[in-house]
Formats: sequence, C-alpha cells, structure tokens
Amino acid sequence: MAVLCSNCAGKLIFNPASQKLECANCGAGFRPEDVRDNGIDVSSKYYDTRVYTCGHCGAEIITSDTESSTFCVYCGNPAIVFSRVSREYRPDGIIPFKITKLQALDKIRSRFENNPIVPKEIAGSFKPENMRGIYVPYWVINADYQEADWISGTVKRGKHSETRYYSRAGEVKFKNVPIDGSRILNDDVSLRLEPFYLEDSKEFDEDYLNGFYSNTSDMDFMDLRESASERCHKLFADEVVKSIPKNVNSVKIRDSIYWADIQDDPIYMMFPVWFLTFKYNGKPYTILVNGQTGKVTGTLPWLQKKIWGIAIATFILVIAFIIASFFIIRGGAPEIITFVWTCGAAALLCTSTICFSVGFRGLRRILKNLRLSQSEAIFNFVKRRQS
Amino acid sequence: MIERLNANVFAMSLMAIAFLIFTGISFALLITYKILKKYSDIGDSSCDIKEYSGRGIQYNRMIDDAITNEKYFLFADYGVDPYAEKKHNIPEVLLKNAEKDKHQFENRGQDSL
Repeated sequence: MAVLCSNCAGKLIFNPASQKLECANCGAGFRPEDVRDNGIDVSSKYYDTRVYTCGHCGAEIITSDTESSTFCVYCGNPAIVFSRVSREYRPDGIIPFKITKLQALDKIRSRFENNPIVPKEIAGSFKPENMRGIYVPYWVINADYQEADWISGTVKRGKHSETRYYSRAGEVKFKNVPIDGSRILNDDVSLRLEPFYLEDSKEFDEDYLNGFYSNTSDMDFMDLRESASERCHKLFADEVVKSIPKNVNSVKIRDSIYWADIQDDPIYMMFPVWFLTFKYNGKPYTILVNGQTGKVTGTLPWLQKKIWGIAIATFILVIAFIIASFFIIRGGAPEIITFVWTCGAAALLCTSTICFSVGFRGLRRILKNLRLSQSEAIFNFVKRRQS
Repeated sequence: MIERLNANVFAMSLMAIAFLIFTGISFALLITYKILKKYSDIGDSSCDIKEYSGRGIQYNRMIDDAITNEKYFLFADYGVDPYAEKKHNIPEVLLKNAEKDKHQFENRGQDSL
C-alpha cells in the first residue's frame, strides 16, 4: 500500500503546501497522479487501510501505513492500539489538504495571542505533535426538499405588544450539500467547518492519504436521509425567518414539518480537517481547522475567575450608574423628576429585557459549543445517537 | 394609614431593588456573552441557503397575520411525505453499513440471551 520514492525507495508523504508527494529521505517531489501505485488496482471498489482502536472512547482511527497512530485524534487518549488491516470502500473523490500543519497551528495561535481570558498554560499544547490531519467522510447530496412552518412573532400596538402568527410553506432544490458521513463527529461540529469548495476536489487516490488519518462512512441510507433532512431544515429555517416583516419582534418557529428526498447517486467524498486535541483541568478539548480554507472552529477554555470578575464588575457598575443618576436627577423640579424617572425606568426596563434575552441565549449557545469542544461530550452524544 | 404608607414604601423599595438587580444581571450577561463570543468561541458560523441553492425557497404558501385555524390547514396540506413512494438507487457503502448495523444488533440480542 505504501508508495515509495523512485529515487531512494523512501516513504512518500503528501505535502499540502506543494500539493505533491515528497520523499522524507531525498526530498524529491511527485504529483500523486504521476506516481505508479504498484499492486494497487485503481479500478477496485476498495482500498487497504490500517485500523487503530481507542481503548478509551472506542473510536476507530484509520491510517495509511506511513503514519502510526500514537493517541486518539478524537479524545486525545494515548490508549490506542493497532486493531487490523481493513479493506474500505473507495470514495468517489477527495479534497486534498491545502493548509499545512504549521499553517493550521499558526491560525489557532493567532486566536490565542493577546487573548485576555484564555489560560496561558494551554499555549504549551499548541504543538505540531498534538495536531493530526484527518480526512473526514462526507456525502455530497442533491435533494428535493419541502417544508411547512408555523411562526409566531410580536408586533407593537401603542404601549402593548400582540402576538401574531405566520404560515409559510415552500420547496427548495438543494445542490451539493455536504453531509458529514461519520457518526463519530457531531453534526453541529461538522456544520461549523463549512464551507468546503468542491472545485478543488480530485478523483480519489490513496496517495493523498499518506501522512494523514482518515475515517470511513459508517452511516446507512436512513441515517443519511435523517442527517440531510436536519441539515436542509436548518438552512430553510434560517431563511424563512427572513421572510417575516421587519416590524415583527421575537420571531420564533413554533412548529415545522419537513421532508427531504435525496437524489440518486450521492457522492462519497473525503474532506480535510486538522484536529488539535489538548487537556486543560483534566478535560479534553478539540479545536478543528478546515484543511482546505483554514477556518478555525472550537471553543477555547476560559479563566473562570476573570469571567466572574468581569460579570460582577459590570453588575456593580450598572447599579452604581443608576443610583448615581438618581441622585443627580433628584435636584430638579418634582414634575421633571417624575417624567425623567418614568421614561428612564421604562427605557431601561426594555433595554434590560433585550440584554437579558440576547445575553442568556448567547451564553447558552457558547456553553453548548464548549461542550462540543470537550470531546468526551461529543462521544457521549455519539453513543446516545448510536444506541 | 401610616402602616399602609409604610407597606407601600416597602413594596416600592422591593420593586426598585428587583429592578436594579435585574438590570445589573442583564447587562452583566450581555457583556460576558460578548467577551466570550469574541475571545473564546471561534468560528461559530455556518453557510446560508444561497450556498447550496441558486433559486432559494420557492414559496407555495405565505400568509401573514394567520388565524389559529390556519395551522391545522397548513399541516393537513403538508403533513404527508411527498417522496414516500419514490424508489432509490442506494450506494453500496450505505447498504453494507446497514447490513453491518443489523449484524451488530442481532449479535447484541444473542449476547443478551
């Protein structure tokens, strides 16, 4: 399975920077399509891989034989053992890594530099050896889709607000939607890695896997249809909300019904993703980088004391400001004081309600993203989904 | 009279304190969220419908200020899978995965016996 250098018989590794297979011994470079793969039947539906199993989370990590696995790319646990040689289905296409390991690491580091709330000790974890390139299986689908939504919103009528309802139904023809084909990677995580641009895709050649890990699709057609429906629903729901008149507030989809039909011949692809795994305070974290575009996604741990300090300081400052303004206004004529206080209190109450709603929902989302980055939670989620 | 007045003052004070606390918490929540969003939560964005559909949504129904009954008509009209009868050519990988799952399920069942 290994491709060897025609000059010195050294192992060839794919270099994303040059888009060539490079020999670690003599430095010679070859285009993957020019390398003759001895003993490989390119017309075969299968290709050979080595499978490692993580004793901690049960994940299976697949490598080419030029890469030996030392720790689990998903949960960061070193309890990983060689399991077997496996014949896997040959994907239809692949988007080769464009971003090198160091470039990916630099992109993560740039988010860390001058970051006042992230603990400094995690900087030590941003090392190339903690970084793994993995080809994640995706299904690229075309789908006919139909959805009906019952939506509510509030409209101001003088001093009062009234709830109104909106009915929407429509169809969409989706084209080239990527659906994460692995149960092990949470759909919410893979969604954040998008977009992947299919213009860069190549016909699958296992030479592109040299130096990287890969995973194979473990879903069946029902899983794919379910994931596709959820993905299309999210795209549809985000758009349908925009069709509600601008003067309507608190727009919420109350009820939905949706159906997706995947067109025949979905394309089985491998997309490139860099995984950085590290531990902080005993909890594992995973930061992902799109291996094609360089988009970084993940939630970094933060200094709890600092965040609590900021929250408490804001709380005290806001209260001090309101009390101070009370004493300042108190000196005026009584009718002016009453007017200013009534208007001020009403405006402040409205602003506070909006701040509360935005802040609460935002924090809930960030905590959810944090749980996704703490990959043990991903695995609990995956196990629940599998069961 | 004085007792009633005192009760009113007490109630007003309580309301003022509750208002102060609510305002303080609201602003603290917003500021904390904004800071975490900026510095901790990286790349929380995803694509919109235009990325995957040139024509976007073709609306069949678009009713504003709908009456409650409309909900039942809406779901009655769209509640059946329009693609249910369609046959598919399912890729071999997906068929094999389904078989693998079936075997695992059967083995688990036998183990538990």
